[in-house]
Amino acid sequence: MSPSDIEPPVDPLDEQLTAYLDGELPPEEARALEQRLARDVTVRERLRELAGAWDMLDNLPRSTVDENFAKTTVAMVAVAAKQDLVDLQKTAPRQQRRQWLTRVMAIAASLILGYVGFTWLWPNPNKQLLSNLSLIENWQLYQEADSIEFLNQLDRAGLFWSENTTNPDHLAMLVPPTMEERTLYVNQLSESQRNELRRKQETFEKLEPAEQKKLRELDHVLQTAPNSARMLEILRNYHNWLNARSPLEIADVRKLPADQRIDKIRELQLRDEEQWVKQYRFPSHMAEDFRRVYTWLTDLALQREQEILANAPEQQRAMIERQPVESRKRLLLKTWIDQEFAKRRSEGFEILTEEQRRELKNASPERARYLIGQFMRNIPAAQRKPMLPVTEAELEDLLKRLTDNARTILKPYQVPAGATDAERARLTSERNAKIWEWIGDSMRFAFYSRGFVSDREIQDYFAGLSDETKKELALLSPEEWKRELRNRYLGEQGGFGGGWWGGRPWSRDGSGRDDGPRPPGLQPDGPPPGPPREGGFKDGGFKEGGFKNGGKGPNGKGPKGPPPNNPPPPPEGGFRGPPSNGPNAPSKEPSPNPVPRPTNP
Amino acid sequence: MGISDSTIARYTLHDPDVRLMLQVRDDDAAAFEELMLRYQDRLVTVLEHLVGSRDTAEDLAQDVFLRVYRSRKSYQPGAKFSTWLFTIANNVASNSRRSRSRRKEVILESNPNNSQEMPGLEQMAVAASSFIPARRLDKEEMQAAVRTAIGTLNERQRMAVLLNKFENMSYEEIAETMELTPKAIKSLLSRARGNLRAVLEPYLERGTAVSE
Repeated sequence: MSPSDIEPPVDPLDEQLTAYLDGELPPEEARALEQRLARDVTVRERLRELAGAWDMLDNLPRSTVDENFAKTTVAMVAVAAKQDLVDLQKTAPRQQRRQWLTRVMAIAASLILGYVGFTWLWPNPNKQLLSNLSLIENWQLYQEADSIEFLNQLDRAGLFWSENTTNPDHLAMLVPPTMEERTLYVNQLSESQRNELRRKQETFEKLEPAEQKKLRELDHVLQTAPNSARMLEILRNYHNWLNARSPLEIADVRKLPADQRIDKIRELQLRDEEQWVKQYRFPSHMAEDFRRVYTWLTDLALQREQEILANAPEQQRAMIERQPVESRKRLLLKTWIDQEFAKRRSEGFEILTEEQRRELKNASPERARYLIGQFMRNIPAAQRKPMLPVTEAELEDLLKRLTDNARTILKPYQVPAGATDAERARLTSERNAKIWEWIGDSMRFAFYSRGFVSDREIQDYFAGLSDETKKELALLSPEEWKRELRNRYLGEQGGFGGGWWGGRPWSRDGSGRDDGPRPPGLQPDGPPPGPPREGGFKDGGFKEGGFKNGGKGPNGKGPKGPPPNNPPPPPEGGFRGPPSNGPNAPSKEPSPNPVPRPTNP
Repeated sequence: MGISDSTIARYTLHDPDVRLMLQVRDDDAAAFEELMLRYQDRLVTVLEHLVGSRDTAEDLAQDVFLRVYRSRKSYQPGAKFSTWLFTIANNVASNSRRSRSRRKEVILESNPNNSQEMPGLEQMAVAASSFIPARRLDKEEMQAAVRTAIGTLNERQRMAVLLNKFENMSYEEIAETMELTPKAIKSLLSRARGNLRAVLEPYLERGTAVSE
């Protein structure tokens, strides 16, 4: 018992004065006390002292908790919620359990502020694993990198970074900072993901100490770098691209010192270009012009930077402003297109049928762009409104940048001396239609030129599909699902709304183009020759390497993709494009295994 | 004794936090999060001054929220939400104090060198009498003096003072929170004020003010 527990009785006057100060005296008592105060200076003095001491309590600070408090509290409650579920499953009838399952999962999932999924507790994720979580998850990627400087070189060269990634600065690839959050993260992985993590840990521990040390150091550098998320994204994309190549190519790249690897990568990408130019039906003699058109487009976007940024939401603006110049130009171009597209979409298209408008209304932005492109194919190219507000002067600037080859193709549209106004207008309109066709093609060309599709793009694309589409995809095996999704994404996104631009439609109906001689083997009205390769060309980066781990990428994160044991939902309204033996169809060819490093499991 | 329908209706109507808690009862996670965000600072403030340790206060506050979650299904609004919450807090703090006492951890032992612990009354009386501030105190020194003064109160007095001061609770609300009668609270607060006056008198006599 503390000293203050043994006390004399309370002074009734003090009690009354205290209650008076607290506003707790009944009115008649308060009036009587006030009269006493008015006439008795000692009582007034006593009141003043009691009030004075009380007022000094205002010096006590008020506490403010930090965000870790909220996070750990939520984590505790989520664990309690989970335990409720376990208990309930033991005792409750099935019907009630099912109802509860949804609600408890919802409360836990939404409480965990961004972590989704809700699986069984991993009883003892050992401390070592949790402390080294980023290392264990990523060490196989790190083996490709050597150093963060190599990744910076890739970045400066504009390689393996996709401006099509939604919100690229906020990738859920970084490991949670606190042990509580990591425990929570690990606990919500599926059984197979946890097994994979354990395997990675076991394999890592078998590496030579020197190798472990090197990887540990790289992990530390990468996790603490200011551009950590970007570096890891580039690393992952590079890793996926490399491991999709032939064994010889992989060995050739790996044996080179970092500073020579960039040239080798470019050489391989150019070699790939030959193949995908054929596959996606780009006129091969136009490759250089497509590159120049794309550069012109990104320059235009950069010139309009202020206006584009002014119309962009704050977060997007901040993200664009942070990018190095090449990425920024590409992002600005994408944003500009999205903004122009949104204007048109909201204006409505008089040429659409009710059904088309309905489909468009429910589509995600990317899918909507694709659909518009399809719908627009019914309009003659010369009558389509340009997608971007480009001035005549800017078009003239583009003409100056093109090669002789392109200028030769445009010769028939030159306005002869003495042409009437009507002829001038017609020729200019047809010339511009051709140029807009090239603009569309150049954007597709740039897309395929990257040589890879990031896991995140696939995840974002999948998330934007309709529920019906997702359900249909669920009927496929995980491997087929991956391939199908990638094919569809490449087909749709690479098109940038193919027909709308006047560019070559993805559906490969072989419709007439007059850009010069066709590649051999392609007939004007026939189907494409031979069975399609799955998802891309033989040794290109669009293969399995881009999508290894059940839709979640090597880090095993990314709740947007479906977990491998949860078949994902399906395509909307059937496939656009060619029939079942066309390139969009799931291929039955087994995918080649990536070349293992000696230490891979 | 059950709560009448009219009481439930009254608090549901007049107290938005009661309405949030009713949503928590229906497993609305966002409502739980909102309540947590509204009360976390207030709870930790009171608990920190109660137990004298920030870490312990945060642990106790988390216990309180966990109890709020666990008891959500049986929640019935028979009082303001804050009253109910601080009742839980009072119980959690008391339980904690009892278990700490059983483990022979004495929070209230005198140790003038450790600002986390609360000195006994004798020590403080000595300290107060010997420490006649000859100058205006700065804010930190004043805070330390007041914290020390709070520490001279017993736990019930301290809780009543903190609820009155920081939560602006009436005697009736404090009584409900601490499961005492309003008359008992009146005595507690009166005694507390008297003790505070005694300990902080040197600062009052000198007209010492906090210098910014």
